[in-house]
Amino acid sequence: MNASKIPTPTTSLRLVLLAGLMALPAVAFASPSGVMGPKDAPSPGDKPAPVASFISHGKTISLDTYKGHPIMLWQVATWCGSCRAGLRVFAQNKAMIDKTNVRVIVLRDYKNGGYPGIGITKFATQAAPSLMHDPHFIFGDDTKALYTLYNPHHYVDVYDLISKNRKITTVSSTPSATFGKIKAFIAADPSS
Amino acid sequence: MMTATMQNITQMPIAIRMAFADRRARLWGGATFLIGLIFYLLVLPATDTGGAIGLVSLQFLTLGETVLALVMAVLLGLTTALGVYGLRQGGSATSGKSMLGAIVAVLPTLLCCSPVLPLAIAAIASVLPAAGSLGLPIQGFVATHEMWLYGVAIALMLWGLYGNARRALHCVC
Repeated sequence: MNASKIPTPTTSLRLVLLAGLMALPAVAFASPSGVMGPKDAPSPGDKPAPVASFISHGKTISLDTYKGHPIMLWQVATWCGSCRAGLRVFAQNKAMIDKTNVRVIVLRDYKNGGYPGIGITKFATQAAPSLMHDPHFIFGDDTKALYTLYNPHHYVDVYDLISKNRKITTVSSTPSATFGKIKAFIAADPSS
Repeated sequence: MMTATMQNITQMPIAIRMAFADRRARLWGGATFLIGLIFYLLVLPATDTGGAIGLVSLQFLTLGETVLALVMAVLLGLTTALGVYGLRQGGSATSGKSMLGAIVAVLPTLLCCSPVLPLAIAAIASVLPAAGSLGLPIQGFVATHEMWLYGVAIALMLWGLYGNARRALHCVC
């Protein structure tokens, strides 16, 4: 037998490395929750949505302002690729959302999720300019209180779906990959 | 030394032609190319889906990511073909740099947008609580330096390809 064909410890190590490389996406794929947020989080069981405020165009706005509207409260980091992709998905579904009573509140994470980045207005203008002047979409910044209440685990791309009667019906992440849940939430509203 | 390196680079197409004349090297190279291409086409757009890989990530595939996937799969395929050819000629083959490049290439997706980093950080933080705050800054850094990481990955793959081509040529000499 040719000596060069006998697996050496180095060859074995390489095979292990290659197997590890191939296994990484499987780990990512199989994992129950995404880094960006809890994709398969248990239903919050219609937990009451706490009252909190955010900053938009220099003004402090309470979530109570949107009483009577189903709300999607979405917290994003402006360096996050999936957040940008999520905004583009919203832009593609703008016509459908415009026919409803829903308000989509997009907030930059408190301290941008721990890493510097552009402001929310620039982020939205770059990713989905058509949403900038749409009254169904509100862009702003998290206050520390809202961030603590709605994102205690400091996820990067996480959203809460809040019904008209102020109950959190769903907590999930990455609208780009979970838009079906948002569509179902919108469809469940009788005024839609 | 510079002249020798330049000479080796200009002779790389000859080494590749020699390797592809060998049936087994061609088969291994082709198979690695196909597997690598499918792998990268599924993994690269997962930065847009929070790490979700599969049909959902394919929907977000851009032209740039397709080109990147093609380039990296071609480099992996060529390196494998040259490595198999070198081994069959009785020489040694090295895949360390290419493999490192292949690993670096999936870092942006896996570190920025999949649960791999948070799971790893959580595991470390269970022993060393101070490490728990590292996850987000690392994710942020990876997400904002994605193209640089792809550049490093391609450079490492090219380096691996060069090493294997040189060995293949020397086997014949």
